[in-house]
Amino acid sequence: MSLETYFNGLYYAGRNRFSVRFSISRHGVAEIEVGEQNRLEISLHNTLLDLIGDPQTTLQISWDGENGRHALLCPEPALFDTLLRLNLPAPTLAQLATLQKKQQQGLKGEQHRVPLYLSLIAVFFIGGYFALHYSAPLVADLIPYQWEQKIGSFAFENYQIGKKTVSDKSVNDAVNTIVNRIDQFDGAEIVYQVAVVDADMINAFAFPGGYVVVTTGLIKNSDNPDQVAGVLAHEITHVLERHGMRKLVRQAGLGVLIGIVFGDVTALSQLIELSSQLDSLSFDRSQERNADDGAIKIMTAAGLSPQHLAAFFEKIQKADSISGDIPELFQTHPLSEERIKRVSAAAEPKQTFKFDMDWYKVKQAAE
Amino acid sequence: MKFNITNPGAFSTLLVHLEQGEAIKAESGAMITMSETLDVDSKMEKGLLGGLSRKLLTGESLFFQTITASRGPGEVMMASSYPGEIQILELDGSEEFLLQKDGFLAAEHSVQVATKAQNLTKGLFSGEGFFVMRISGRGKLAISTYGGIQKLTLAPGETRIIDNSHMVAWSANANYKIEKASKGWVSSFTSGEGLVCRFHGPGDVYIQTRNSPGFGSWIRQFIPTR
Repeated sequence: MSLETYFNGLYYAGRNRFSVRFSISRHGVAEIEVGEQNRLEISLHNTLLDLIGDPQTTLQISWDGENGRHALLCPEPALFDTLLRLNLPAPTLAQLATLQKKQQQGLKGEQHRVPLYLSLIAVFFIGGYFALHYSAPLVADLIPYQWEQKIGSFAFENYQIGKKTVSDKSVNDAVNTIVNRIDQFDGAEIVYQVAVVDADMINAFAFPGGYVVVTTGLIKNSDNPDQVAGVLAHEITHVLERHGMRKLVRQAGLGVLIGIVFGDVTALSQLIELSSQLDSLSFDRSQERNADDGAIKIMTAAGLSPQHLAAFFEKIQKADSISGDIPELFQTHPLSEERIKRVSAAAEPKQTFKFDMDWYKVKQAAE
Repeated sequence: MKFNITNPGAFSTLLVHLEQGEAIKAESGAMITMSETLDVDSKMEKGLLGGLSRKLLTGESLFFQTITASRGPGEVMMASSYPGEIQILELDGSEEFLLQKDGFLAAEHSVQVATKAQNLTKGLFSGEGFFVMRISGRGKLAISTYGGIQKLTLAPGETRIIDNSHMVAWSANANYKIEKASKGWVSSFTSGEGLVCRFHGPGDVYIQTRNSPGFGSWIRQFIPTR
C-alpha cells in the first residue's frame, strides 16, 4: 500500500538515466514509475544509502541490477521524513538519521558559503587598505637615502623634459643664493641642485635627494627674495619630513612595501616609475601645517622674517579670489585662513639677514 | 524555441529561433546578428546583488543580455569570444548543473543561473576558481568550450579521472575530489599532470578537449620578451 506521497527523482540503470516519479510503501518498497507503462519495485532492505552531489545533499539509493549498478537519486528533504517513519531495521534508521542531519548541514552550509567568501574578500581588501595606510609612513622611513636620491633625480630629469629652463645667470645666481642661505639652516646635510623653469604658473617644489624646482612665475610674483625663501623652506620641509615619499609608498601598493622591507631593488624601479607624480602630489592638512612650521623654523634660524611668507600667502589668496583660479602651488598645497594666521603669528628672528641682491632686476631678468 | 549549432567546429555559432513572445538570456556581447523583430535588453539576473556577485565571483558579465521576440518571430546568431565548440543541453528540471565561469553562452528564459562557491581545495586547485555557476530549471542551455566538447556519462559508482581545467559543466550529483595525478607528489608534477579531479557517478560531465591556461603557456614561448 502506498503512502500516496510522490517524490521526483532521477533513476539510473547503468548509464541510462530516467527522470522519474516514485513513492515509498509502508513496507519499505520504492515504487518507481519509469515512463508511462514501466513500474519498478525495489525493496529498501537490499539497497545502499548514501548522500552524493555538490553539496552532498542528494540521497542516493543504489543496488545491483541488470547491466551494472542502479541508483535512485532524490534531493527532497521530505523523503527523509517519510523513510524515518518506516518500519526499517534499527541500523538503517540510525544511518538515515545521520544522513538527514548531514543533508540539513549541507543545505545550510551552502547558503552561507557565498556571503562568507564575499565577506572574506571584503575583509582582505579593507585590511589590506588599512595595513597599507598605516604601514606606509613607517616603511617610507626604511628607504635608504641612495634610493631616495635616485628617485628624486629621475623625477627631476623627467619633470624638465619638454620644459624650458632659464639660463640667465642673474636669475640662477639669485635662486642659488636663496637656496644656499636655507641650506645652512635646514638641519640636514643635503646638497641642493636647483633648476629655474620658464613658466608663468606660480610653482615651486623639491624632489627627494635635494632637487629643487622654481618657476619664473613664482619669482615674478614675489615682492622680495625672502618670500621665495619662505616658499622653498616650506617645500624642503616636505622632503625632509618625507611627506612625498610616504605618499608614493602608499600608492605603490603592498608588493613594493614588502620589497622595501626586504631591500629588494625591484621595488626601487617601481617607485621610480611612480616618481613622475611627485610634482603633483597634494598633502594633507597636518603635513601642510608641519611644513609651515618647518618653514618658520628655517626662516627664523636664517634671519628671515616669517612675515614675508605670510605676506606672500595673503597676496596669493587675494589674487585668486579676484581671478578665481588657484595657482599650481596652492592646488597641491591648499591655503587656509588658519595657515596664514599661524605663519603671521610666528616670532621675528633675533638677528636679521638681508639678501644682497637687486630683486627688481632679478624679476626683470625672469620676464 | 529552437537552438541550432551552425558553422560547427572550432568557430561554431549558435542560432536560436524565437517565436513571438519568447525570450532568451545570453552572455553579454555574444550576439552576432539578429532579426529586426528581436529586442536586446540588458538585465541583471537576480537583481543588483546577484548581478554583482556573479560579476565579482564568476567573472561573468554583470549583465546578461535578454533577447526578446517582442514584435514577431525571429532568429539570433551568437558565439563566445574564444574558438571552440558549442553544445546544447536540454534541462528537464530533474538535475542541476555546475558550469565553469566561461562556459555559459545562452539559455532559455526559464533556466536559472546562480553563483555557487566551491570549497577551499576545489577553489584553489580545480582550475575552475572559487566560484562556478549553478544552472537549474527547465529549458535549453548552450554551453561553449575552448576546443572540442566531449560528454562523459558516468553510471552509479563509476569513477573517472579528469585533468583539472578541462571540466566545463557537470551534474551537481557527480561530485569530484581533487587529488594528485600519481601516487607521489614528485611524479605527479614531473608527469606534467599535477592535480586531477576524480569524478564519482552517476552523472554527466562535459569536458573541453583543450584548456586555455595550457594554450596560454604554450603560446607564451613564441612571444618575444622586451
